[in-house]
Amino acid sequence: MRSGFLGRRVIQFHPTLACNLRCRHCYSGSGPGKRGGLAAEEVLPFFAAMREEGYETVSFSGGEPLLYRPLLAVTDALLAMGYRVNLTTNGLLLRGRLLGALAPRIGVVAVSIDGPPELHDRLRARNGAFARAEAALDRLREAELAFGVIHTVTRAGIPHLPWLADFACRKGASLLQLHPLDPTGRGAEVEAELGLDEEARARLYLLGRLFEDRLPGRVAVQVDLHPRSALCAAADAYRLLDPAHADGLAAGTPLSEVVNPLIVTERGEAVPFVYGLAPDFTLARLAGNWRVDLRRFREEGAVRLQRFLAACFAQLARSSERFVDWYAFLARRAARTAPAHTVAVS
Amino acid sequence: MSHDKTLGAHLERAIAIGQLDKKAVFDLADRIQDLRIAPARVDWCIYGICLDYVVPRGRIGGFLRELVDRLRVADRLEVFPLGIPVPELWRVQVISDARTGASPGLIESQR
Repeated sequence: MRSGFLGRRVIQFHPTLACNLRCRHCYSGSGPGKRGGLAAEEVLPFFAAMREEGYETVSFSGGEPLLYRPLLAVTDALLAMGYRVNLTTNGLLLRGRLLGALAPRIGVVAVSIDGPPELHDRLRARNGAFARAEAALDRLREAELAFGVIHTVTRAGIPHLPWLADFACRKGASLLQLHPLDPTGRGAEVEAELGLDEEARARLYLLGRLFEDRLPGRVAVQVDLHPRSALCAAADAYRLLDPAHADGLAAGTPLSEVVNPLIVTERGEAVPFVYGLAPDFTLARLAGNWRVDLRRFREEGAVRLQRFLAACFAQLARSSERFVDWYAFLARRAARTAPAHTVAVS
Repeated sequence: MSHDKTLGAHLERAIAIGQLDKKAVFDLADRIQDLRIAPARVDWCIYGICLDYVVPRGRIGGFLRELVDRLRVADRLEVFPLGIPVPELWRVQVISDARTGASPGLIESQR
């Protein structure tokens, strides 16, 4: 059963800010200077509990997840719990024994490609980054591992989108994900230069939908933009808005039915819907007593989150935007209204 | 409908690099907004950009009214009952013009 606007119930796991690149548009502010990551023993009991709450897929992101030391051990534990595991990477380390180890474990590997070589290297702030990412795609194909191309759409990248669609197809990708620049982390610093205005978003939406039609059926195209009016009309996909939850989560309701995706950040915080949602919306802290946090969410926090969602849909209905990145919209709205929706966590 | 890949690639490029002007893009975007449902498919055809909607039978009446009242483009509607394999679904095709210069005479003749 769908939950929110996603077909599967997903945990996005950002275990570390460590990264071997310092991309100009990074939504999390990751980079070579960042160290550390969440310990396996800190996260695994939480993930086991979340499996019971109906989550089906864990998607590693970062930072660069291939720099996360316990990656394979955590992945094995997640697979044993019955999760499907996906991973997003810049591709630089995707070779040799690590690739061989990942192949039987990972469902889909998404490699970030920000445009043709010159643009990709400029945004990734590293000469040769494109060539190495392209080589990673070739190795993934040779390893017969399902993979996709994930593209952060910038104003500079829009003219190159047809090239990108052909590139992804030529490389044998099974997914082309087009995601508008997130104005969080370092993305906020470049939003004025690279962010998408209303016209760019309309062009992106149309192009993405046209690619769906033109590319072979084996390439799924995902555009993380939706017509505003269609989102408003589909608000009932958010079951948290059901009056049954007006006084707290109705008994027996799995968390995944009302919070999807669930984000686990490198700080060990479980956050609803989108990385970068104001900290006041944190559902639980893994370093603390997260079981108590989750119980408190069921009793009190769910009501606040319900009000927040309702306010978001009301705001969306009044908005003049034509195409909306729903999760970025939630993050923006949360940043403005967070103090009124503070959720207490242990 | 025709699916000429070369024409499609040319018109995609026209959108990407801005040859399809802002007004045409926003006109199309506004039509999508007006129908309050995301198109099931967006494709190129001999008329320009086609928006294909798939609407459950229970919503078909309201959807057709919205086509006429909100979109104000429907001198004639063609409704395709799919029947097979999903009998409760109908298909309505909405056609809009793409002012790319690719085939202006043809586009004019369809109005």
